[in-house]
Order: sequence, then structure tokens, then C-alpha cells
Amino acid sequence: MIFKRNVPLILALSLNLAALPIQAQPAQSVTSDPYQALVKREFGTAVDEMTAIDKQIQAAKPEEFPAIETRLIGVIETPEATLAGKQFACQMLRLVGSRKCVPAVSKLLTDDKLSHMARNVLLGMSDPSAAQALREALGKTQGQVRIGIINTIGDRGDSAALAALSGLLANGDAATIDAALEAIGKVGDAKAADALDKAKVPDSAKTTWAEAYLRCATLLTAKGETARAQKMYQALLDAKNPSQVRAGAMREIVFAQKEKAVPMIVQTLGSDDKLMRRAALSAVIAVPGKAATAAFGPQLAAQTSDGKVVLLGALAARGDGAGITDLVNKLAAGEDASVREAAINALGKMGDGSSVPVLVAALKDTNNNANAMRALADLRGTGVAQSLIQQVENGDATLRATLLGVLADRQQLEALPVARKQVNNDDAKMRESSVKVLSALGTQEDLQSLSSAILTTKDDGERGTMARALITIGNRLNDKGKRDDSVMQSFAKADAPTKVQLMPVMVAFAGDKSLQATRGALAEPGEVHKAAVKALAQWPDAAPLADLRGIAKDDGDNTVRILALRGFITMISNSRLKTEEKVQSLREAMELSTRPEEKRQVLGEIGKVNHVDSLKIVEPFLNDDNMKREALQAYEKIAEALVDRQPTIAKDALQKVIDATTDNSLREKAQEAMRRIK
Amino acid sequence: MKNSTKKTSAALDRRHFLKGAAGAMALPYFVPASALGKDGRPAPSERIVMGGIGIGNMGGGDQGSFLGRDDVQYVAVCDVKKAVREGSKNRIDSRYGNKDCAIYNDFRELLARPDIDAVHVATPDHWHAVIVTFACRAGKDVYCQKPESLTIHEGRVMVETARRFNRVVSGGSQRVMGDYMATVRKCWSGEIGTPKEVYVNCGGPSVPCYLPGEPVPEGVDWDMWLGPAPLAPYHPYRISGSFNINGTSWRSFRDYSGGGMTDWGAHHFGGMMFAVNKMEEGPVEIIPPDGKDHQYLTYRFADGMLLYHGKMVDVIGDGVPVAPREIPQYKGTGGIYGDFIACVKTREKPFRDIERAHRTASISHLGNICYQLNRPLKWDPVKEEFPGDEQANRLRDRARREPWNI
Repeated sequence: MIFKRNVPLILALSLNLAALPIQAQPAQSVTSDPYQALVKREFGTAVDEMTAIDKQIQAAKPEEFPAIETRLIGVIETPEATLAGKQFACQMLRLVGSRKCVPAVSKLLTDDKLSHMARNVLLGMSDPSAAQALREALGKTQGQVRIGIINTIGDRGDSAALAALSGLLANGDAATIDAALEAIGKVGDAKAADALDKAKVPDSAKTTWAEAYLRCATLLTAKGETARAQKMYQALLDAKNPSQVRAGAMREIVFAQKEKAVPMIVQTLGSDDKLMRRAALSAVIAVPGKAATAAFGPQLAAQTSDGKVVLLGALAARGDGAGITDLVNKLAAGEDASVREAAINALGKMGDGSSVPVLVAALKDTNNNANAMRALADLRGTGVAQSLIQQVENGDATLRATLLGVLADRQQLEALPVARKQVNNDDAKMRESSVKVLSALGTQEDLQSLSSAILTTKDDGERGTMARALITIGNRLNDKGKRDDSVMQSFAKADAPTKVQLMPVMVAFAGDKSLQATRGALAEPGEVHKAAVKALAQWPDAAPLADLRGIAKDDGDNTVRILALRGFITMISNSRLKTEEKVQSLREAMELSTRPEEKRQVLGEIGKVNHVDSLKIVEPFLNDDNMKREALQAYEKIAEALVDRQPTIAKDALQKVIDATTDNSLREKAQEAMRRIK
Repeated sequence: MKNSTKKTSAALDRRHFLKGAAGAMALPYFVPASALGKDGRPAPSERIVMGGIGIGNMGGGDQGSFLGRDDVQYVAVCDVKKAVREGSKNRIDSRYGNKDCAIYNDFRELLARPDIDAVHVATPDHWHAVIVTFACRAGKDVYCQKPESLTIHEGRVMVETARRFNRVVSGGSQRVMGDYMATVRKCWSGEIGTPKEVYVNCGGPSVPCYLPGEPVPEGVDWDMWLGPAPLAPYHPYRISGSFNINGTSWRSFRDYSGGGMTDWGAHHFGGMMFAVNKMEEGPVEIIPPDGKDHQYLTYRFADGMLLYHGKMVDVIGDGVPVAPREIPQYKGTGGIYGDFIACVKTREKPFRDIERAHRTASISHLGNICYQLNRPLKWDPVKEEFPGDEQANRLRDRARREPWNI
């Protein structure tokens, strides 16, 4: 698109690429040569020309770069060229520049407004002339501009600049000294480390020196010079250095020393300095290997109460209990309340099967019941499931029921056989937990057993729980076609309260047999009849549409008629009826509606049916004070949908809305639709 | 901007309090029930003391999430727009029923406060790397809004600095965990097998900004807003934090943002790399669309997986089921913010640890570089360089305007 708009630009781009330097040209000739346009460019001008150059570079082959570079050099060497023009030229030289542009770009390094752009050209240039130019600029600049150059030298990691940078440490202002130290740190080789070792810096730069020393040491580590780096980290641990630097040094020492660092870590956990304490916590998590975990054991035992709490928390985050689980199990059953709480919490992350009895015992502790439950749910070590199953099979019913619940939370498949055995247990809590397990993990066979179990219970709440479990299991099955069969037999045998509870299962499964059974229940009296109507009204497809129409017309109970009517109305627009049939059904629904609530519902649905006759259903309500708002909304919606197909009718209808509505947003919608007709 | 003496004395009091408390005993960073204050909140010494830097659209949202937490004490805000920082102060003071929140124009003053444990950063993208690295150097933990970096090199330096100073640094895409769980479950359950093709749709790259200048409004520190970005005149579209990427906000422009590619890419690429469990990996080749063999910009990974930029998010596997794996979860409570705070306390790595955030941002940046150069690129995801390709390597970073440095 740019190229189509700028034919003269493209001609200029493809011709005469060697003109140097560019002379400022009269405004009328600028558009003929985008590079000349750059010379006079101010922010906000020469947009087409810059876009064209940008595109030209994107399309250029590498062998075409030198010619483009020449033109860009021409821009920055033109004395009259503007700041904005030179800035853009530099941005393009970053893409196509070579050693050829370095002399011209170097001159900009001393310019306080363009030095940044010049550095941007040189930053990633591998040719040695770029590094040389930056080093030379150090001696020609001061203040912020020199700081920028120092920063770029550091970013390039230019070891050859170390002498010059070190020289600035003795003669620079505070900001320059800081920048030079940072750059030396970024160079990060042995010579840089030497330079920092020898550096004599004022107190104001001590923190920056330590940061640079740390950076240098990490770069040496990355290069494999670990002995030198470790020596530097040890030196940085000195309390005279800033905490954040010591914290970083400690991390590297821990990585190198592994379990040997454990005493230092534990000692630091008790530090007065919060940054160091946090570093020690990091170290507990980071120090690698099971040997390190085991080494924390004796340290844990030796701690004060507060120390144990801290260390247990960190060990939990480490998530490895190798060699110390027994000790933590003992602490979880110990006398000290804070330590007990911390140990119970920790076991969830680092315990194993041996922790189960301890945590089960903790369930009886009212202060730690929730902690123990969470820990049992989180426990991931070996033998946990087996140990929990053993506990479920023994002990008092309340505890066994609780543990079955834990197994369900853990999604532990091993719990399924136990739950199947207990689903008819005499104890209500056991039955409840068993149903929870079956709900979480049950399969096709459990639909059958739960359907049978629901027949035996006399508690309506329990029936509801079982029905919900049936739905959950049924929804999880891959073969959804078999769901109906499992429940039908029980449904046929069920008493009235159970049938009421099973109705949502019929809706959820919604197969042919479920529908048949639900229709059958319509013949039953009282609550079963009502529940069946409710179920049909919520059916996920439109299969019971005719049933609902009939009930809405003829049922003897007004409440049931309303229930059916509301389901009928909702089902119409979701059905596969033809548009005309939908209109007819909604007309019928409107006739059956005796209350404003259902009439409003019809108006809401009719708005979704785009037909001229839909407008006719709405029209009687346009002047009805109780219905006017909903009627106008529906009318507008239908009219808007008819704009393309039947513009004349739509126009009249929209005009009625515009004239009658007091709702500004509706009027604007109608006016917008009207504009489409015009 | 200078702070009030009231604030300074509050900060001093806080330091004295901490010093005294620390001297009394080694403080646990896990909050036992006994450490709760009278109002049920953790005792003051157990709260994470926070400040916010950059309180625009996203920063305001982040602030609200941290401010709502009982285990956070929010004490300071920084923004280069006077009205924003003052409005933000009012919100915080109103939350706590006092006038204690300090306000700053220069983030370095906020970071100099020893009482602050952690900061959240939601400035425009061109500031992220500088502020995050300064914060780490000051010993602060950081929650940084996405996209975390403006260049690949900046992202790597952010990771290195976080590690070097032993800091917890979390990236800020809440959608990585929140929006793609259906796809994540599909992949981590093993049902689709080994991922072979991944689709991501986010906006395109940012563009150069050619806007003219306008007078700087009262109450805006324009030089501080520009910070490390190239010198440019004020324009309301440059400074606008609108979510549009149609040329009316800083998100549109290359000097400040990677455009939709990084802004939404941080979510979509992040979510899909989570789904395929490659959160700390990168591609080995990036190929621009050519209208023939490659309909979309295509990333190729070492194992042959292809990632396309240009169609609704999805993952297609080879259909040979593999073993399911446990899906990682946030730590603590309260989503990504709770995850960060939990990790500040425990020193674990947050879900959006800066390495993962950087790797996601890198995918966006690599796409932008490929679109800009319009040719296939080879990429070494370990060394994070384009082997033997100086032109592309130059685009891994930009010089920062003096005096800013990372």
C-alpha cells in the first residue's frame, strides 16, 4: 500500500543511491527523495518517506545494504540535518550499518541529544571499529553523555576498555564512578576482577563496587572460573557489604558447597537481618541433593522452638523429607504447640506413608484438625494410599468416614473398592463419605450400585447427595448411551420421594428412556407429577415441547400450568422448528399467558425470531404501560433483523420505536438501523 | 519529588520497629496462628510491606489486588503523573484509614526505603527492565506486569539480576494459568499425546512512532516517562496507557512496546507454552509467512513441534496418549498475586518466575524480529543468539538513553 501511494519515492529509492552529503532541498522537492526528506524532518513530518525507507530496508538483500548505508551516512553528515532526521537515520543504520558508517556515527557520540542513537548503532556491531569508537569517546565527553557511553561499553563487555574505565574511578564524579564500576562488573573476566580488586573507591561507591564485584563473580562462574569466583563470593559475605549483595553471594556459595553449607544456612536463618534470613530460606530450598536434606536433620533437632518453626517451613517448601521424615513425624506429635503446627503443615509437603498415623492422630486436635486434613490431602510420599486404606478399615466410624473423604479429595483410586463396600453401611457418615468417593472416582458399575442404594435410604438429604453423585458419574462416562439403563430399573421401583430426587438425573442423562420414564411419571399424583413437569421444562433439547404445550393448556393445577408454560416458552426458540412454526408457538404461548411475567418472557423470546409476524405479536403491547419497555425492545430487535430483507416494514417499525421509546440507548440503536436503510 | 516529613518519620519508625523486633528474636516468615494481630490480620511485623511503581490501568488493578490482602501493608506509590499518584495515595489511605501512604515521582526514592519488602511494577514496557533490576539491587522482591521486557537481552538481564540478588521476581500474566485450563488439561492429561502443532492468535508487532510534538501538560514528568527510550516530544498518544494498539497508545509503538505481539502474546504464548510444558524453552527457527508454504509466522522447536502465530489458540497432538502429569498450581491464595506473596514469604519460585516470563516474552520478541527482517531466522535458545546473523543479533537489544542502565 505504501508503495502504491509513493511511486516517486520508490523511483528515488532505486536510483542515485550515492549522493553525499545531502544538501538541504526546497520543500517541493523533498517528496521526490525520501533521504532528502529526512534532512528536514521534524517530529510528525515525512511519515511516508520514513515508511518507504523502512520498507525498502525490509525488502533489501544484504548486498544492497551498502548503498542504503551510504544514503543514511549522507543524512547524518549533512550539517543542516535535523535532530529528528538524524535520529531516524541512526535507527536505520542499526539495521544496515557497517564499519563504513562508524566514523560518521562516532561524531554523534559527543552530541548530548544524539549520543544515545549513535550508541544504538554501535551496540551490536561486531566490527572492532565500533568498540574503538566508544573507547575514544570516553575521553571526549563528560557527564550524562559519558555515562551513556560507559554503559554501552559495559553492555558490549569490552575487556579492552578496562584500563580506561579504571582510570575514571580515580578522576570521575560519583555518578561516573558508579557507571564505570558497573561496566567493569559487566565485562566479567579475570582482568575485570583484577581491576575491581585494585579499585580504590570512595565510600559513596562501596555499594556499587560490591554489586559490580558480585556481577563479575557470577560471570566468572558462568565461564567456569569457579575457584576465583568462590573466593570473591566469600569476600562479599563480609558484614560490611550490603545485605542484598551478601544474600546473592550466599546463594552461589550454597550451590558450590551443597550439604557442607547447611550449618551456615541454619545459622543465617537466625540472623537479625531480614534479607539474610530470606536468603537462608532460599538456600534451604535451593541447596541440592538428598544429602543436604539429611544434613538438616541434626540442625533441626538443635533449634529453639522459633528456629524449628522457621526451618520446618523452609524444608516443607523444599518438599523433600529424605532421612528426616521420622524426626518431623515426632515433632508433629510433640508437646510444643507452634512446632507441632509447623510440623503437621510440613508433613503435607515432605511426609510419606509413615506420617499417616501421626496426621490421623492430629485430626483429633481441634487446633490442628484443618491442618492435618490439608496435610493428608497433600501427602505425596510412598505408601500413603495403603496406609490411609488401613486406617479406613479400622477405628471408629467418624474417623473412618473422615478418611474416606480424604481419599476422595486425593482422587485415590485405591479407595473405590472400600467405598463400594461401605455404601450400604449402617452409619450415615460412612455412607456419605462413600458416596463422595464414588462421586469422585466411580464408573459405570457404580451407577448401578448407587441407583440401588438410593432405594434403601429414608433420608431426603442423602437421596439428593446420591442423585448428584449419579449425575457426576454419568457425566464423566465416555459411553453416555448406557447411563439411562443403569437408573431405569431403580426409578421404576422407587417410592415417590425418591422419584422426585431422581428427576434431575433424568434431565441430566436426557436419553430416550429417561424421557419415557419422565413422561410416565406425569401420570402419578402430587409431587412426582410436579417434579416430572419441572424436569420436562428443564429438558436440554426440545423433545418434550408438545408435552409442555399440553400441560400448559390442560393441567388442573395452576402452578403446574405456569411451570410448563415457562418451559414451553424457553424451549420454542431453542427448538428446530421452522421460523413460522416458532412464531405460531409463541403466539399460542402468549394466548396461554395470563400473568405479566410470562407475557414478558414471550416478548423476550419473540425478539429472537426474525419474522414479520413476530412484529404482529408484539404490537398489542406497544401501548401497554406494563409491557411497553419489553415490547419496544423486542420490536426494535425484530425490525433491525429485517432491515435487509424487508426494509419498508423494518423502517416503519423502527420509526415507531424511535417515536415511542424513552430509552436513549434503544432510540440510538433504532436510529443506527434506520441509517442502514437510508 | 520530596516526601512529607510525616512519611519520613513513619518510615524511620518502621525501621526502628523492625530492628527492635528482629533483635528480640529470629522472626519466622511463616505466620503461625499465634502471630495474628487483634483484627485477625497477620501482626504488622509479619506483613509484606509493598510499594507500587506505575499506577495506570494495569498498575491500578494490581494495586487493588495487593491492597485487598491482609498480609500486605501497602505504603508507597510512584508515578510520573501527579494526578495518578495522588489519586492512588487517596485510595490507599482510604483503605487503611490514615494519611500514611508516601508518593514519589522517582522510583529510586521509593526503592531506597529499607522498610519496603516488595514492589509491583506496571509502567510502560520500556521501563520494566531498568526498574526491575534497580529493585533487585535494592533487595526488593518484584511483581512485574507483562510483557516483562522490551528486548530479549533485557529479559535475560532481568533473570540474571533476580538470581544474582536472590530475589523473588514474578512476571505478571494472570491469564497463563487462568484462561487456558481446558487446553492445559487436555495436554497434561496426556490424552492428545505429544504436542505437534500449537496455534496462537494475538495482535501484530508494534510500529515506529512518527507523531508530532505537543506541549507537555502540567503535572507530567515527560523526561522521566521517556526514561531509557529515545528522545521524543510529548504527544497524548505516546503517553496513553489505553489498551488499544491502533496508534493511539504507547502499546502501539516500537520504542515503548512490542505491540499486540508482546501485549497479548504474553498471555497467549505463555498459556500455550504452559500447555505444552515448554515454559523455559525456545524455538530453534522462526519463519515469516510467505503466502505459500507458510501461511502464518512459524516457530519450529528442536523436537519438531511447530508454533503458529495467526489462528485461535489450540494444541494438536500426535494422538498417541502419554502418561498424565500433575498440573502445577499457584501457591498461597488469591491467584497470581497470592502466589507472589506466598513466594516472598517462603522464597520458592513463583508460577510466573521471571525465567518463564522472559522465555514467553522472547517468543514474542523473536516473532517481532522475524516480521521486521522478513526472512527465516535460526535461533539458539541456550545461548539466546542468532548464530552467525549479526543483523538479527543487533535486534536482541537496544541502547538505553543515558543515564539508564541494566
